[in-house]
Amino acid sequence: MFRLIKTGRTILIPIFIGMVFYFMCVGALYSEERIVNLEANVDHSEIGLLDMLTLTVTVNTENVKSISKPTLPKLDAFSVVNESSSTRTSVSILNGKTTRSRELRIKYILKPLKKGTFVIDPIIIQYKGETYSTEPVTVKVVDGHVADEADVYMLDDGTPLDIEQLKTDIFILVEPAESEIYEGQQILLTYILYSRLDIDTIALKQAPEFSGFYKEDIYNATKLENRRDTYNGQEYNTTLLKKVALFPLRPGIYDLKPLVLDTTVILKSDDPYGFFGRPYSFQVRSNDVIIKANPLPEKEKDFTGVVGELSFNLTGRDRSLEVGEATACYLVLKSTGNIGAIRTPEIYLSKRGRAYLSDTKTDMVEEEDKLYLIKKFEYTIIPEENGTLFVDTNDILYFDTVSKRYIYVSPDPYRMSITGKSIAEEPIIKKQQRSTGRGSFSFIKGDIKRLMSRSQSFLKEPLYYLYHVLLLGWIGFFFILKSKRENLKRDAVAYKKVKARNTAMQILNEAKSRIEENEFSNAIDHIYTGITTYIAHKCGKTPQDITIKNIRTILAEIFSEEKFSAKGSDKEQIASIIERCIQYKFSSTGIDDEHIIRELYEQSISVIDSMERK
Amino acid sequence: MRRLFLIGIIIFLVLTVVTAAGICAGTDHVKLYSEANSQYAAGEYAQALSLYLQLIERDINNHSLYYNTANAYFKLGETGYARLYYERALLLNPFDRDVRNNLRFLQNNMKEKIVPLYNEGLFKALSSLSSFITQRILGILEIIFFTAFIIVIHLYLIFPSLRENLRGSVYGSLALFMIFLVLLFALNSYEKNHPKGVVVDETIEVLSAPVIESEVLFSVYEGAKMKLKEERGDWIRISISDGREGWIQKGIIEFI
Repeated sequence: MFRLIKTGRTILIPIFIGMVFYFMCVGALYSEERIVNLEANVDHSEIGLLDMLTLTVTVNTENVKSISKPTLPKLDAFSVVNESSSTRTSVSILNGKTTRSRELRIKYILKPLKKGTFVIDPIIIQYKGETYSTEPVTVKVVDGHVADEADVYMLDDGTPLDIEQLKTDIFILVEPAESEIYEGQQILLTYILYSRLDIDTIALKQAPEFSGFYKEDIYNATKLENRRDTYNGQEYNTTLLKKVALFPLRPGIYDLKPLVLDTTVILKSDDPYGFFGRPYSFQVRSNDVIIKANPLPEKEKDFTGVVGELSFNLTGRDRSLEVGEATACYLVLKSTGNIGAIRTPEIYLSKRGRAYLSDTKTDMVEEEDKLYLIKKFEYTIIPEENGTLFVDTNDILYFDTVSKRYIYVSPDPYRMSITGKSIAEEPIIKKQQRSTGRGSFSFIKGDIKRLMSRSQSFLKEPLYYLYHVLLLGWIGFFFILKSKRENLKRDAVAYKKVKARNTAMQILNEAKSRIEENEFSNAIDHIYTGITTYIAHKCGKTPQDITIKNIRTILAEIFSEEKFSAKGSDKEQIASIIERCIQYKFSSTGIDDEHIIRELYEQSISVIDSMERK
Repeated sequence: MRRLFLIGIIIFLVLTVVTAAGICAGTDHVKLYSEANSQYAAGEYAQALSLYLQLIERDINNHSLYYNTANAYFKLGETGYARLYYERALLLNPFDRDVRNNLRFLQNNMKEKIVPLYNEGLFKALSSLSSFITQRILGILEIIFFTAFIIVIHLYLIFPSLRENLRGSVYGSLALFMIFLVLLFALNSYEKNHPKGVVVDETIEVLSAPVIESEVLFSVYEGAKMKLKEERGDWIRISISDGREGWIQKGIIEFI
């Protein structure tokens, strides 16, 4: 039995959990999304002008995941001092149906602006095409205080909240050094958040507006800091939120719009069990700032618009340089006034030269709770004349707020020593004077007969390559030819073989001249020498080797070579010429028949030509 | 034979017409050039410039023409284009003192004087010397030494008795010819890959990277000379003689 009961319980627990989960799921599936209730209440129906009114808007929903905040109707008689919201969610299961209820409660703290009876119009919410609205609320505002507990507000859980205490615990303080200044004069505003509370979240709701001012932003906070500071004898954590320098553009009274932060703080509870504290969301605003900008005394003609302090100096990069060399001069303006209005100052040179504005830089620096704006003009100076060059600029007129009068300020001129030869008065680009005396036209290149086009690089010109190829081709050819000849000369026998005819012809020509001169004996000698030289060179021997005895043997050797074997008559003719020459040479009577010798000569020429042809 | 004669006649006629056309065109160029010079002399720089540019558009590469064009640009206050044409004139004739004088004058008048990174002693001398070394000068020297080599080789081959004396000249002229040939091709290749350009706009901003959103490193002004270091899409990396480098968009400088 005991075991059975135990077993039954063990089974029943998961079944129960499962059923609950089932009903929750089914219930969630069939649950209806709707706004159950929307209402608006005020804590008092009658308040004094010095009191605060709390308007609470409560939205009760069922199964609605998210809903937008209701928007307040236009409030002419009230201004919203603060706004906070809280939500409460509960889940109930009834008859198996799960309902998720959510209550959104928004509290507006309103400050009455005027006396009278006012109706706060219905507050409307639109959800899924349906319009929900609250009842109008009527409030009567009278003079002074009415509610004795007006400053005690209740948190959602009923805990009283002391708004005045909250205002001293967390606030944004802006304290301008002066509330009355001149138009154009700088006023430095510093927005500091003072807090003694545990800040959970913080976000910028509204940035301050500075219409009517020229402003220079100096600092904008991106995160909370934890500096410790004392204010009114109390210690606070402080954060510098914003720092800005303002310059009123026109005279008048300026009411600056505040800086507003959306803040959630964790309020510590008196309840000993409220260990974690309670979050409370509201808005923190900076205090009102009213600035009066007085008009300046009658403005002078050259007034630059700068009000405050102004210093002006002129420096340079070099103290000495050469004519034509570039240097830089710097004009630096430093002022608490708005120097953005100053036009680029002119630069004056005491000697001939050129000056260009090459750069402009702006900067700012904070000194003694004042913001100094700095403008640096860089000029490039090119002197064209030697000597001492002074660089100067024009005076600047500003309004000095200490002496309350207009003051001219000018920097000390910057002195430079220029060396080298001065550039001509007329800085035209000039060609050097030539003796041709072409007058004023000499600075350009004029006198030409033909406008020749030149190539920058020969590598694109076909002629360049053609020139190289032709010369290299020629030299190659010449080299080969010369090499062949030289090789031939080196082989003397072969050379002589090739040159046999030329050598023989030279000797035969000599023979011919001897015939002309009737020196027949000499002519015979020359014919003999010519023909034997030819034969000797052809067979690689010397002419002395050729005799009447061996001539036929030698000729047989020559003609046994293939190229001479074609015709046997030449051999006979040569042998005949040699025999006849020897015969005439050694004849005791000599020979004086010109005809025979000329015939011998012609036969020699003819036989040599005949052999060469073969 | 008759056919050869006819071909010869046709070639002669064609050559005559081409030469005559060339002479006529040349005369026309000189006329236009003289007219431009007259306009310049009269102080009508814009008109003179327009005529000079017409001649340049006819592909006339003449250093005098470039010089006069640069002068006209200078007179009209266009420093960038003035420098561009002085530099082009120097490429054709690096020894022209007029061009060098005017270029120096122009550089002194520029908004920003760019001081080369190495501008002292030997570096200055080398830099000055290198300004004379152009492809044209190298080409001329190469042709001179090539021709000398051919002449010496001829003498060497013709006069065997002088060979001992000529051998040194042959090797010398061949070595010089080869050196200048290599230098010419090397310079040509280098200048093709790293051409130099001139800023013709008033100011251009040089960026740290080839993207428009990148940081502006510095600005260069009209007339500044720069060298292309690298090309990437629509961007080029440039360097200035003072050592600064950065990226600019293509097409905003004129290449020399």
